[in-house]
Amino acid sequence: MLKLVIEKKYYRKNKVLESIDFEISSNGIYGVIGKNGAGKTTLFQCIASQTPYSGYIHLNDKPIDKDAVGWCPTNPFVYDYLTSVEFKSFFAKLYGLKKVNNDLFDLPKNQLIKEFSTGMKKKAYLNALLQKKYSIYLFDEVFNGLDIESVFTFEKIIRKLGESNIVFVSSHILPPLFKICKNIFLIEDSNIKKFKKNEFDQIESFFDKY
Amino acid sequence: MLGLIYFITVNNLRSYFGRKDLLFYFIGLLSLLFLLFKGLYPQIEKYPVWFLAFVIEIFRIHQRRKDFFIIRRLYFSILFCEYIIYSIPILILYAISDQWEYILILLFFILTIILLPRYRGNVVKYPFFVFSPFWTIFFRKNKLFLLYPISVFLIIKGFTINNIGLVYFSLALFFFGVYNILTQRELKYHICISVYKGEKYLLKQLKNTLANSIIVFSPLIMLIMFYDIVQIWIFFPILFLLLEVNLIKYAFFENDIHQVLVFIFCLVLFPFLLPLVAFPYLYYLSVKNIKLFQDVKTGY
Repeated sequence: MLKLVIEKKYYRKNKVLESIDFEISSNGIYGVIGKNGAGKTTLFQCIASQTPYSGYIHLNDKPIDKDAVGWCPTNPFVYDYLTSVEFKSFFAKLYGLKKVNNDLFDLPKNQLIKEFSTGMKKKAYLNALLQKKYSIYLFDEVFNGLDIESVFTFEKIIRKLGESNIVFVSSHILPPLFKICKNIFLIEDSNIKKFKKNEFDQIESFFDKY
Repeated sequence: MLGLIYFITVNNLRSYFGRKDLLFYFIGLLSLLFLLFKGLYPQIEKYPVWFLAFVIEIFRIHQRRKDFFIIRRLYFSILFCEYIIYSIPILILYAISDQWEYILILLFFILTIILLPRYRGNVVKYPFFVFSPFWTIFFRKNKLFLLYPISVFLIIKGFTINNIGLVYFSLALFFFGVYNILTQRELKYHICISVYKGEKYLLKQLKNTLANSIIVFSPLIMLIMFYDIVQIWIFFPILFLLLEVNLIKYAFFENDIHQVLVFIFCLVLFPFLLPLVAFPYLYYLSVKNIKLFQDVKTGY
């Protein structure tokens, strides 16, 4: 299972995360919330081994392998002058995959990514990313920019993934998280606070103080 | 459709003319008539071909269009009418000077521009290996395929007039086109998530560079073989240098200036086989850098 200890994470002199210590003992969907700049993306970057930090992250008692983590950032890393099909094929090559799986989302095949809307770019990225299986999935503000139909489709996909994997979803919109998450982690003042399913009503009152 | 053409044309001309500024329209019209009949008309009989240069302006307008998806259904008719409206002054000049063949040529160019595949929604597919996506991206973005007719023309001309310098120049033209592709840096994240680690990643990139370079140069190789098979020796140093450029990128990934300096150094000292000597060291540096990107060390 996942054991995460981040003693300190600084960007230059700015402290972003400190004394983060939690364990996840079962598969499922876990929400991550916090104000802008609270450190949600940094937490995901640490889990995905994309940024250095002080501490350790173990999966099943072994240091986490970055190949076991699939990360979808808020603004996906796509190339504007490729089509979604070419971008998916590029990812397949990076992953060394021989067989290209079916697309999760339908997208124009003969159109450049630069002509896509924000939501379509995200779909193109998710089609490419989710060709591969991971043990941990990180979806950073994944519902942003998606249309209603895609939100429902993606909720289904996340639920399915959560059955046999650990899935983290960050969002500023609470209702979908309340619906699908087992626990929600709130990042505030470089620390993390865990809310269980029966404590979700406390989250809103937590933000009431602002 | 006429309404749509009117609004599109007015919208495009609005950057030049104010709204309901009658005095400005009047002065503009007078200036245009003066330019046409006093300035240009006397010249059109002497230099009719030069007036076809107006096609470049149409091409420029066409390239900058962003309304392609709005007018998708009536694409051809709208664009054709709009470009005819822009060309009216030149068409009038050709008509009154009785040069009907040039009107036909101008119309042919306009049709060609409109029917360029990009704007019909068809993205040009390139046969490159996509492990490095910049080959496709660069050819598509900068329309590098336009180098082919120029290079082919120079090669044929070079062999016809027995000037091998022209042949080498055309190859150099292509070389620098491809050089720009190879200096494009992929996102570190993409290097990081690749299942190919360190040396394997680099080898995969080098194979990709070699294969794509051969694809790019193959029409020219065949053309040169047709004229003088001995001259194909030139492709070996070209391919070697392209691999070297690939290595230089990874060896000095963060620093553009270092990349350019090392490349110039290799190019200048090519006769002294410096690129060959430097190859193993650049290879070592590249592998080291790739490993560094892929292994984000714990620390803060």
